[in-house]
Amino acid sequence: MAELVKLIGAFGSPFVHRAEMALRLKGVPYELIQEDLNNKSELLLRHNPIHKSVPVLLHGDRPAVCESLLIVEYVDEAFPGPPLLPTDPHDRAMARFWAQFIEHKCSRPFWMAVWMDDGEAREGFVAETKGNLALLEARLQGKKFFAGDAVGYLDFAACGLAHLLGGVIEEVAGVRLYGDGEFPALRRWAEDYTSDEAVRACLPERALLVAHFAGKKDKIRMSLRAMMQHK
Amino acid sequence: MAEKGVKVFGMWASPMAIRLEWALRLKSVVYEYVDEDLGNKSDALLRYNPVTKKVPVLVHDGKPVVESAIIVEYIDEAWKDGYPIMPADPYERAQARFWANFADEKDLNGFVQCNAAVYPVFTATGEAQGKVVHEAQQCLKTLEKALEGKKFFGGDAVGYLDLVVGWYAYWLPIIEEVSGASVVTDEELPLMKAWFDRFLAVDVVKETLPPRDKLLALNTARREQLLTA
Repeated sequence: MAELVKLIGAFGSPFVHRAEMALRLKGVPYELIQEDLNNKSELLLRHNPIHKSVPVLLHGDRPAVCESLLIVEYVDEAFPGPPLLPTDPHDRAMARFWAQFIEHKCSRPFWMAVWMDDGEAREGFVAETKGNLALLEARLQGKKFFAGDAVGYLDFAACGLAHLLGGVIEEVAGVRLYGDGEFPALRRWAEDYTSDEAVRACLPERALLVAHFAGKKDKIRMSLRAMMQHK
Repeated sequence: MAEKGVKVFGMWASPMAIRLEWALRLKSVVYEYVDEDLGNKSDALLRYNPVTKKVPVLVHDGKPVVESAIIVEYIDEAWKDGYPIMPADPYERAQARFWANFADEKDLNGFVQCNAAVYPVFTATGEAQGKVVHEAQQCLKTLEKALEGKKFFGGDAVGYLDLVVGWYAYWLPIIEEVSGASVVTDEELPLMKAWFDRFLAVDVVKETLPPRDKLLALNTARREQLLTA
């Protein structure tokens, strides 16, 4: 008798998307519990007291697994099904490295640059992102997806970047940081990724995402300013 | 022409590089250590790690692996019949990785986690020191929960999380001495303090620690440099 799997998530979160892709590609049925992040449930706060964030995976009676990429690895290891990460140790190390690189060196500074006010700090993030996206572009050359012909771990790890490259976030923020001609392979990847059948099952349509982020943009800007000051 | 063998590109005073040595020695893997001058990085290092250009880098039969925590997992998987570094159970593995991230990274909201809370202790002075010490202690108290009821983070024997946070056991007392701060005390962090002693007594740790006086001198000089900059 298979144990129940529940995923605590929130609409539009690329982190939750990673967890959903992992469960779907592995063939694990799950119940999705949608959180209102403005009014976090007792369930979420109890299971993720340190970060209070989504996604959170509840597998049977076990205590929670938190952090999207850790959930992906847990799903890969705890359930039978096709492997999500490569099986060769060196390839696994490379996949983990690039997932981290995409998160910390690409998505993060890109996100910051889009929402920040104009100025030296923003220019810094724009330049940093540009350099790192160029390195990532080189990784993609000749391949449809980072994982090869089909969507894999690194592709859904990079989901947040797909939103950014596809212009969803820039549209909401009313900026355009990079020209249409820049990062052609990555832009093509973002389109291919977001139109993939398996992906679309757990990724909201573009119009809905734009509306979602538009509704949050003041809050995003405010919390970014608070964070910059805290530094 | 296949390059064979194991090389560690590191720096003698680097707490990140030493993680690799601990992991390799637990696996009884013979390796060559290349001590880099970080002000004048070797061509080899830049060739093996063109993306971040940092140490440490592990080169195994010519293939580089970067990022110390990732390298430790790689070592566990590449020599899977040796000493078990990661826990066997998937949930325990997720927990070990979770705490390693908590120790190493800034969380995604930009708020400090352990390492980021500990570094400021190094240069804080006067009134500001009290505040950063308190923040560091709060982080370490959270981390300490993962030790409750156990000899090591890994249980009865050292494991992945011990290797990731083990550097605190040697480097933190030095940071405390150099800055005059007092962070890990019997009153505030009794479990952590006791674990420091047990960890430092482990053979692979004892064999690899850099000389204390040399490390103290380097950090004293570095602190002066940072404070007068």
